[in-house]
Amino acid sequence: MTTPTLVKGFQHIIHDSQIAFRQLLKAMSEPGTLVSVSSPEPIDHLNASTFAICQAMLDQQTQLWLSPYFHTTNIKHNLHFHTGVSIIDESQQALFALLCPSDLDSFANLSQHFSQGTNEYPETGCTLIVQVSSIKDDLSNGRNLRLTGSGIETAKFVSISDLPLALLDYLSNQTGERNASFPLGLDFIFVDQTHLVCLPRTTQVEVL
Amino acid sequence: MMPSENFTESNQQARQHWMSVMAKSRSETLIALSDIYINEHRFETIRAAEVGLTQVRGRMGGTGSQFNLGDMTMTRCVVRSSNGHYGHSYIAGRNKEHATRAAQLDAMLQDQAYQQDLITNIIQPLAHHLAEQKKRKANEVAQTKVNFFTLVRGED
Repeated sequence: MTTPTLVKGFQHIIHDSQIAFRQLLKAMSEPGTLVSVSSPEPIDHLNASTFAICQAMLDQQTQLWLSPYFHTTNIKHNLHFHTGVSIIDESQQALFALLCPSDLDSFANLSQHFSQGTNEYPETGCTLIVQVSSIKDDLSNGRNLRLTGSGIETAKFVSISDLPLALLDYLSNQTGERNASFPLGLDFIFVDQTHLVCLPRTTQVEVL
Repeated sequence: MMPSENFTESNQQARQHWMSVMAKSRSETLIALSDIYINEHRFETIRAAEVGLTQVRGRMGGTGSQFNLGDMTMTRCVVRSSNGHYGHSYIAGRNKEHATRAAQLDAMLQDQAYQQDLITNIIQPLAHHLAEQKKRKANEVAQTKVNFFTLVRGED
């Protein structure tokens, strides 16, 4: 059995997690705005930026679901070591989920796999953290999205790489389930090597 | 690069011993004794020293069922030495320098190149000092010991 290798976490845990939290808050309240987050080291193929989000958001009281791509001994051990998070197998019960785009391909119906919250507590819906290879705030080679809604003055454009069709259909309400279930729903954080962008459930997405 | 952390039982006991000695010693003494060994080494902070609470449980008379005695403050830290050894520490109280130093020494003590030197010059003097303290305390307590005698009244 190989012993998991511990990686460096935040060096100044209070300040670093407050910085990351503030960045996430900005990105979540102004969808389509790119912000940067960082941590000293990645955990294998879990980027340092994604690890920074985990350190800022996860603790003993959050249930995290890991997609098969991230479900390795090393990642589980390090996430638990640095945050105390409990990692669960049942994706429906997760408050946070960590995925890569190819994992999303296999989910025909996202809202059946992840909790959208309840009518009494819509905020308990799952937040999906999706690690992608690149995000840009202009139109480029990735999937170009036009965003409107709360927190956006007119419209914003982002380009996110490798998004599968199933996810695009969900986000752009092609299937109808995203808007029909409001105020219940799923919130998304897309993160590349350095930057992240958020698509909360209030943001209307148009695929260009 | 990752040194094996598969300890044999005696290795584990030795490590338990030095971790325990460093945790129980006075931080000033520990830091003063180890400064010359630590200063020429670089360590990476895996988990910066952080203060927290742990619940202490006890058994009445050492044999009864468990009960929660209370919470105590503790500080823990994890570092990595340049040779890839991981040093862990858990100490009572809120002294972050103490926790950091104990973790750094734990990492160095796992390195065969320094182990004997550190045990001779840091761990053994500290352990000796702790034993002396314990003996002195035991002696003080023993002087005030009161024995109770009861006469059997033969009622049963």
